[in-house]
Amino acid sequence: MSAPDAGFEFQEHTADVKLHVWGDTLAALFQAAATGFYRLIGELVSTDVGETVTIELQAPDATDLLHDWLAELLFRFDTRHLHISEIEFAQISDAYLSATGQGRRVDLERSRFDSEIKAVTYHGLEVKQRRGRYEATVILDL
Amino acid sequence: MATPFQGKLERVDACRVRIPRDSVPGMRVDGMIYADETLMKSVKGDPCVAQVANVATLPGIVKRSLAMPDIHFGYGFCIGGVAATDPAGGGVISPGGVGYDINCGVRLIRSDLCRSDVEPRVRELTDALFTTIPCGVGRGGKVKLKGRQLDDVLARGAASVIDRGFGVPGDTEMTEDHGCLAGADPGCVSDRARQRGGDQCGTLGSGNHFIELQVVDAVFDKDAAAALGIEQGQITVMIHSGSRGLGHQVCDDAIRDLRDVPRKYGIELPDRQLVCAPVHSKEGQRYFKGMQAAANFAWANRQIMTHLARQALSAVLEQPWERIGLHLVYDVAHNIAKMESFPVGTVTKTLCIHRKGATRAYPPGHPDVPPKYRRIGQPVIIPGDMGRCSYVLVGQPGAMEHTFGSTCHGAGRLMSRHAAIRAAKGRSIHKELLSRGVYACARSRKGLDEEQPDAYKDVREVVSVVENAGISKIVCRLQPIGVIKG
Repeated sequence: MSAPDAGFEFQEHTADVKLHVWGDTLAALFQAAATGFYRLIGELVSTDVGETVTIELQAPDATDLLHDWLAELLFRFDTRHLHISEIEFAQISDAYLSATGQGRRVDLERSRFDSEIKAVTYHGLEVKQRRGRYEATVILDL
Repeated sequence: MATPFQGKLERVDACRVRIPRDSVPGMRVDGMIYADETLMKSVKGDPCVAQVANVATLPGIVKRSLAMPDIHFGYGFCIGGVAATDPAGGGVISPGGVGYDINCGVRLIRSDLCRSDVEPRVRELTDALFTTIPCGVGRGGKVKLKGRQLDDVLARGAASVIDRGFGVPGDTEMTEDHGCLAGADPGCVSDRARQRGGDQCGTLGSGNHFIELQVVDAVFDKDAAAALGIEQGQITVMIHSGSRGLGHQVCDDAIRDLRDVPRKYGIELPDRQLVCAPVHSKEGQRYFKGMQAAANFAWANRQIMTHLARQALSAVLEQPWERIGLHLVYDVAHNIAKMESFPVGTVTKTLCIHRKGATRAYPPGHPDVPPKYRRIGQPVIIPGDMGRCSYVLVGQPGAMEHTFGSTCHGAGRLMSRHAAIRAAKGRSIHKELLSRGVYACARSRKGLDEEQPDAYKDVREVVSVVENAGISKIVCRLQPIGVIKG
């Protein structure tokens, strides 16, 4: 479904979508998750110049942190139609992240929307480390 | 991750398959799947069967963990799942037993129009619905709700927006629970949920949500149909939507807030999505009150869209909607948890009924059925796919006896979204629908491909199982002629 080095792919799921993500570092994993998340919504065309967005999250572990990260992107998309790109992680650990990015409002007329994401589920969600690579599968409720 | 079910399955009769209590460790009651041999074939190798067994492990679960014939894989609970827990016996409430789209549901509006009245104008009428009712990703509504106005919607549901001109008082009479759960507490809905829902009341959304212009193409129970104001050849409008971003956020908040609660109450869970709290605990009550507020938001949402649909059709036909007879037949919730009373052994108990992709189906004579329908039973509206048909059923006594007053909610998906897109390659679903006499307007081509008729089980098989099982009875069949999708 996508280039092998993009760090994400979509997998089969009856009613919804499984987003499989990977990366050499937690930052790469979270970056790939964000890219896959927006790709799932559609081909987004942004409007004006971006505003700098700061996201700071705390969670009990990397799995919850990944959930909260995508839930945060969803919240900003749903409330303000923000597409956040050029993401940089100032700090990221299993329990904390601090990121900045450019948030641009999506042009509703020029974008192509494929899916409305309702929620980021916890189903089978686990950030795993295998042979020095981080991996996770997130099921998004559509 | 989910694996296919390895435990025992025993066929009870033509309509039911049992998962005996001893087939998975921790099950407190049997599981029971309503499915005939054909439907069971598509279910057997699916992890959704294990989900029925997992639900049977929940503290305080009564009688059995149920699944309706439209069963498919969900989060925690399967879709098509019904579970009753006894609060007095340590019973729990689980956001996974309701789902993210709290009070997703469907309503049916009748009309005085017949097929020949609208046939030449189906495109025009469907286009009018499409341009009047906001739908699709990111489309906000005309109603912006903030502060006290939003609180009022959360507390009072459909009545709140009717007071503001979106409909008539008679509409709430034809809505499950009068379009309002009284236990709602707006204070239990987070700021994030409020922000997500603020401009989404009166919007359809995307995915499997739709509005259809339909024709009644078969009547199986004339007497019941007459009581519903329905006859052969008549035009109806069906609306399928839920609580939008507000409800999704209430569920997400609850799953997060309840994370450590099962441990606190010594509850062991096979799946994190089954996270729960005793109904009577402060954590359980907080979710329950917030969930009810989200349910009220959903009823307000469908009510506003009803008003907009009446306006749209009225504008095209150049007649007031009352003259077209666009009255609400009924509105049912299919993702909800409610306190309802049922006989358990020799006593009547108030239980917490979780319906996740299942519909209430009260039988004739039940006091909660509107007086106008009490003789025939509560109307149950079952949307099918957009190419085939939908059904109206009525509740039957068997539902009180066996399924906590519940029945199926739809066709249930058969194909994954990817498989549906692959199957649509090189085809135009839009044109195929046209050749079947269905004019479809969709914001997203991919959305239309994903929702193509073949992606769903045949709803005819689903409703025949619930009828044969004696939990509901088929009244009539509705064929789509115009569809709007987000």
